[in-house]
Amino acid sequence: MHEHGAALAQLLLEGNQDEAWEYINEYRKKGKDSLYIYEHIITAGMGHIGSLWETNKISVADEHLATSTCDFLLARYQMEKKKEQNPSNSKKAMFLCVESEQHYLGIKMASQLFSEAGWTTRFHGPNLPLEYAKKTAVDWQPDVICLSFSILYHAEHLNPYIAELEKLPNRPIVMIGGRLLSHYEFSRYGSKKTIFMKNLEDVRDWIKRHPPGVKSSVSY
Amino acid sequence: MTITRRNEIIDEVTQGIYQDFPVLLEKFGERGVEKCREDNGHHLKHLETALFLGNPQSFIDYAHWLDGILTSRGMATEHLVDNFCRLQNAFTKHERANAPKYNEILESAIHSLKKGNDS
Repeated sequence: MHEHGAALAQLLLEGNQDEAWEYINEYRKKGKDSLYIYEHIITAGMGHIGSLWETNKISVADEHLATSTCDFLLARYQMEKKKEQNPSNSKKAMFLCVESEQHYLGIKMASQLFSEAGWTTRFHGPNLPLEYAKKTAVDWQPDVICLSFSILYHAEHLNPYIAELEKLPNRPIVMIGGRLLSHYEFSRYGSKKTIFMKNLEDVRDWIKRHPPGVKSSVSY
Repeated sequence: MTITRRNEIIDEVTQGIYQDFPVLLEKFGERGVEKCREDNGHHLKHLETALFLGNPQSFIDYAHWLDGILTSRGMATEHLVDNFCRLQNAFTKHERANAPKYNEILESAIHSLKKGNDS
């Protein structure tokens, strides 16, 4: 994992979209699945970028370039995966970062795992205030709404988001994810129905237990 | 904590730091003062979350993470420890009801930072 982290990080810091793509494509062609590529290569790479910034070895501008290159990488990976899939006509999942939260790559990977499994997904990116999240959820009626945060005190947003979204007419499942969930317990911000995901493996396992199928009136 | 109370604490700590270390204003200007206020805002938000979670370790982890960032940029652990001590005094003065709980967490973080610095 560490060798992947440093190697991919270097390519991301160079803004080298083509070589970054070739790096992960090699593993895709060798048969590594999306969970492996997301966790052990891409997350490792961005984790290494984070460490470099924390230790003042790269600047904010460098980190932004790496993030945008990684964003492209994820989009290209999903485009390749979609060629292998049948079009989905199934349950819907919505993905967003809570208000003020800018770190979106993790939840983007989660949305792509859902999409790969046949869900119809919408990815809303960073910093979506509750009023807009609620309005779009009322209109689109997702079966699942996934929220992400990466800074500890952004957890203060969880309770209002969870409370408002869980009581929407179609009663979506609300899932919470982010790197801090593998370190601390946030269940007191949610209800008994709220699902807290510690990592992408948890997301993958949940998806396996809940295939999207065709929409029905039966709830979870 | 109300916004008013939070600002009182941030004001007191920032003014105290600049009163005791006037060279900071020469060195970092008004932007430095803004950064000091922002940083203390972050400290308070992390403290509130740690208290709500019932998990002081989350604040200690934040303190070490921040210390790594600051020391890699030329600051000393003592600066962060000093800031936390000033927060303790400000809590005692402005947030008496919850001061013991916040100060206990700050004390744990101060102790951990000092221990990390000694090793």
